[in-house]
Parts: sequence; structure tokens; C-alpha cells
Amino acid sequence: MRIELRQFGKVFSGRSRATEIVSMITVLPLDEVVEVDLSEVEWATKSFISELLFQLRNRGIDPESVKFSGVADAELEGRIIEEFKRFSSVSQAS
Amino acid sequence: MDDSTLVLTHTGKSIATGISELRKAKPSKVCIDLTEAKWLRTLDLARIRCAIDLVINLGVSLSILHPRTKSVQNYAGRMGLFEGTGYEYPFQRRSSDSFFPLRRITNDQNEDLFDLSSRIFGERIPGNYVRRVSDAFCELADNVYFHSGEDVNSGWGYVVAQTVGATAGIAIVDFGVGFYGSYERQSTLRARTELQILEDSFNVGESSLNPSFQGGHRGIGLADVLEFVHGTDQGTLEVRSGRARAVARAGKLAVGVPLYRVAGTWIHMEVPLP
Repeated sequence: MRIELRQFGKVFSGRSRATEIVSMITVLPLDEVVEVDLSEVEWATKSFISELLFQLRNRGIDPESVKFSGVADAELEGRIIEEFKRFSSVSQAS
Repeated sequence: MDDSTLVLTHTGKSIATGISELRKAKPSKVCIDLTEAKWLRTLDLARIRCAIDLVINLGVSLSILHPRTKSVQNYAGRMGLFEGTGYEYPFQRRSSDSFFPLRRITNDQNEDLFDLSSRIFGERIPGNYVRRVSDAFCELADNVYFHSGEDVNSGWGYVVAQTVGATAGIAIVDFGVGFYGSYERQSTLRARTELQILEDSFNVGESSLNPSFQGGHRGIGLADVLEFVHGTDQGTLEVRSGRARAVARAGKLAVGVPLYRVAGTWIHMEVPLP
């Protein structure tokens, strides 16, 4: 299962954008890896990434089975990894 | 001007006390008197613009006395201070490569702020840095919508930015419920004072919208902005909310009680353009 963010824009900010994007996916297979493809994406705020993971989790997707790909910018990649780790630890605690 | 006219000037204290009075006892008229303004900073512009919108929203008659100083008049016009008010004003549009004019925040889809910021600062500073500056603008603007309203996701406010020399300044103002009010609304105060709430709000995972004291998926934006400001050389972030004030400078965050209570939340950030 792949979510190609470039279909929705180049810059992603705000939690409602993440909610919107996840709600547009009609079928989310729970036993597959969900690949979030950031090719051609210039930037995404940490809040957006966090909300995307949260919304996927609400749809039954284990955060551990979400993979990010196609991140061209090293700093953005670092920030995504940081937020991914934080979200996973919060998810496990709750 | 009759006795029932509430007069506001451009100073922070006048706006703060004026908004409080306006909400307590609705006057028949409000006059925003800018005649004595010798300069207007981004923070002044954002709070005056919020005051204009609030007066209009409340259906109170509004009059505006423009600055006597011609350069201040022109600057206010250029920055969009009186746009949409029907007020005749000498609006001088100039190249906008050093500022973006006042923009109203009404939702959390502020990607256009990112684009604006990248366009204005992108020519002058490295790509990674401009993305972090723009990111900070978006996070702060989104927070106005999330937190400042009477209900979650209903806030509004204004953002404005200006470069002066080698510094980028941004102001974000709302007259909403403030940090404390946001926690009070969500019943997540947990016996903390207004100062404690403001200080805690800079921590990762701390948000009025996280139901548990152990954190949650909210509470990222402000912590990220603080981290960015601390990582800059001589960047500053000042947040005033209600009867609390926090200033981040040189890697330290200091929280204290300001001289007067402000309506909502006023944020001013300055970062160097390397």
C-alpha cells in the first residue's frame, strides 16, 4: 500500500491536511506495509507527520508498519525519523 | 468623540486594556487613534489588525485616525493594516521581497505562509535554514487555529513578517483564550498556574489537547520552534499570554509576569538571516 503525497501538494502543514489525506483512502489493508512516498515533496511539518501517523493508527495501522520513502532532503528525513520514533514511543505507552 | 467611545492607541498596553474593556462593556463606538505612532513594529500591526477585526465582528462602530507621520501611514497601508475596512488610505504597494503583509489565520492549512516565507527569505539564506524559518511560521499560525478559540479548532488571528537588515521578524497575534484558557477549556490544567502552563507548553508532547499527563501525539509545534530559535545565533522568541510571558534567548527560556495582562496570545520571533 503506497500513499503518494505529491498527489496532494508539495508542502504539508497542519493536522487537518493529514486527516483529509487519510480519509480519502478507502481501503487500508491492515496486514501490509504502508509506504508514505515523499517524492517531490518539499517539506512537511512535524505536526503533519505526527497527525498522519495518528490517523493511520486510528485506521488500524500499526505505526511500526509505516515506512517513509523518497525523501530527498536530508534534514526533512532526519525530522521525520525523529517524529516517527517519538510517535512510536508515545503509542506504545498509551 | 462622546463619552461612550473607547479609544485605543497603537501601544501594547492600550490595546490590551482596551480589548478587555471592549469585552466587559460594549461601547457604542471604538476609535483606533494612531496619530501619535512614530513607528509600527510587526507586533503592533498584528494586534491593531486583530483589534480592528474584533471591533467589526462585535458590530461596534469603528473609526480610525491614521498616523500623522507620512512614512508610518505608508508602511501601515503597505502592510495591509486597513484592507477591507472601507477606509480611504494611501496604499502604496512596493516590492514585497522584504515582508509579507498581514494575513488572517482561519484554519490550519497555512502552507501558503511557507511559500511566502520561502519566497521572501529564500534568496538570501540557505535552503535548509529558510525551510526551518518557514516551518516555524506554519507551526505558530496553525496553533492559533487549534488553541485560541472558545472551542478547539476555531481560533483566528493575524500573522505578519518583515526583514530588517539581517533579521527576520514575525509577529502572530490572537485575542483568544490564551494558553491558560486553552488548558482550562480542555480540563487539562492539573492544578498548574498560568506561568507553569506557559513554561510547560514548550516541552515536547505537552498540549492542552493531550488527554494524558504522560503526553500524546499533540504538542510538537511550539517545542520545535523553540528548538529552532535556540539553534540560531541570537534568535529570540517572545510569547505573551494572559498574565504570563516567556522569552527564549541564547539557549535559555525565561518565564515571568509581564507588566500588564494581554488579550489572547502575542508572539514575536526574530531570527538572524545568516
